[in-house]
Amino acid sequence: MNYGLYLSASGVLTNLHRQDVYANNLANAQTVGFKPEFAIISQRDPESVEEGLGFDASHDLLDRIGGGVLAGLQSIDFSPANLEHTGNPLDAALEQRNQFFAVLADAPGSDQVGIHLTRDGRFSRNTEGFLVTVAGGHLVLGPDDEPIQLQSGPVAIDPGGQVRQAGEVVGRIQVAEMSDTNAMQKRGQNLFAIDGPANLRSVLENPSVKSGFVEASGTDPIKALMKMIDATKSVTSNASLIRYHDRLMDQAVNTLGRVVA
Amino acid sequence: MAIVALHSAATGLSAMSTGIDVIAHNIANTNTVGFKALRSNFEDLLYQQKEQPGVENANGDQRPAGLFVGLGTRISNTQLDLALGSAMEDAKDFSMMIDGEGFFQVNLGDQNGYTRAGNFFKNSEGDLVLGTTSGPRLEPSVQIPDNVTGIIIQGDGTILGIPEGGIEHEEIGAITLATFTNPTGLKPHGGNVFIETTASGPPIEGQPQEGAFGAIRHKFLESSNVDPVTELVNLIKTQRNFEFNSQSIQAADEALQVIANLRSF
Repeated sequence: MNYGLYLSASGVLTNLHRQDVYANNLANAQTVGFKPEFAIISQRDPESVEEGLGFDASHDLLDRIGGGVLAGLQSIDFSPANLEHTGNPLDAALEQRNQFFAVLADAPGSDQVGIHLTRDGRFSRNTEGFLVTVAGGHLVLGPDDEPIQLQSGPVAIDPGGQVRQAGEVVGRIQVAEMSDTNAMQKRGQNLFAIDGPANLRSVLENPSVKSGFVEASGTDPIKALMKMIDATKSVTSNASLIRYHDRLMDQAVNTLGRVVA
Repeated sequence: MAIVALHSAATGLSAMSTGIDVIAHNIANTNTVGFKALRSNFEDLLYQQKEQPGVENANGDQRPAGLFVGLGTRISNTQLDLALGSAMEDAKDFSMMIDGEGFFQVNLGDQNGYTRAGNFFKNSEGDLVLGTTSGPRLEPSVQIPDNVTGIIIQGDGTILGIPEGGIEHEEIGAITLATFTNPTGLKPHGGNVFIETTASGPPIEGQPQEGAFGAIRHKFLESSNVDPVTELVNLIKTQRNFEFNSQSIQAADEALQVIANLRSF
């Protein structure tokens, strides 16, 4: 009974989830190297299909309606974003899609210490002179997954990703390419963890790095705001349908089924 | 649910408003000698895991990805932009700028301060002091004898002058500079002065023109490296992002209100 009530409820819940995702995208509209997420929603299969019950177990008509709506799996928009000029010699940006800087991090929210990837090329030196990311101070890795140590004094990054001091090459920044970006998970501090076999990451021989630039956030505030409004409207309309179902039941119970003495 | 959206938007509002504070400070210091602009660095917060990737579904297939919802943003730090400010001519006897790396050292009493501002003065006791409100002494201190004329400060930091009654230049002091392994880790102390932190590492002293240290340019001052155009563009962007986040709050609030009114009487 009242199957539609549950379908409308799934609509409300899913669209509240979409709001959460777009709120996060908007909050990170200034975060360097941030990649926005798509709030994908998918049609939910009817219960008989979802639970593998076979055809005789459920109502034929209800099966044809479907099971409402479900938040889809996470999907990140990896399109390259605008480059912003900063002039800082230790800022670097990548222009090509699916290319990342590699850092050694124990990202927040996980106990994994390992290689993480990032598009955030704001680097700095730590007390020991190692090249680290500005967000979180994680060690930046070279092509052989070793940290890069610098001397004090001026430093420059050339278009090949080589770090130069006083004309001498003192290290090279690793630029890794991911063959499957679906295996990447966000970990906060602008980092991505690789959830999959290590061979998904291949280190580029001749990378192209733009120094003095950073990659702006990939969030398009206008689109995100439109989707935010859209999600709010969907919540409202689904809630109206819930109220409609409620009124229907009210009628059925209190008017139609009234016992007149 | 929509509560997460409210909190994410709140983190956005607070980070953007801190961003505006930093920009306002930079713009206020466009005329401060030796000032270094600060940049707010944003980072995303934790991600809440709603569905684990790799879980088997009813058909025995593995989910290719999980479902994560981000919890907003924050400012991870403010970073010093140590780019050289442009040189401006200043005809005073003890005005100088460092053309390259290094900081002048000044004595703050219990510790040393480091500054790029080169507007020094001679105080009543003849010591060279920084031309700020508190006027800290140059470290190591330099005594300028009375009635010295024809002051010249050479590129290597040597201060020359003609003593009273003399005809030739004599050395009356020298300037020592300091640098750091990670100069962006210095802490702004106010009064154009930075102080060392564990992040910056201990100071490395040296003479001007020696190694990576820059040369001293006499009768020049290093102006603030704040670029007003960039700062204003950033101000506009940050203010708009602040507004966008307030819209997220409104949208989430509207949805919650609808839900609160679901039950009719």
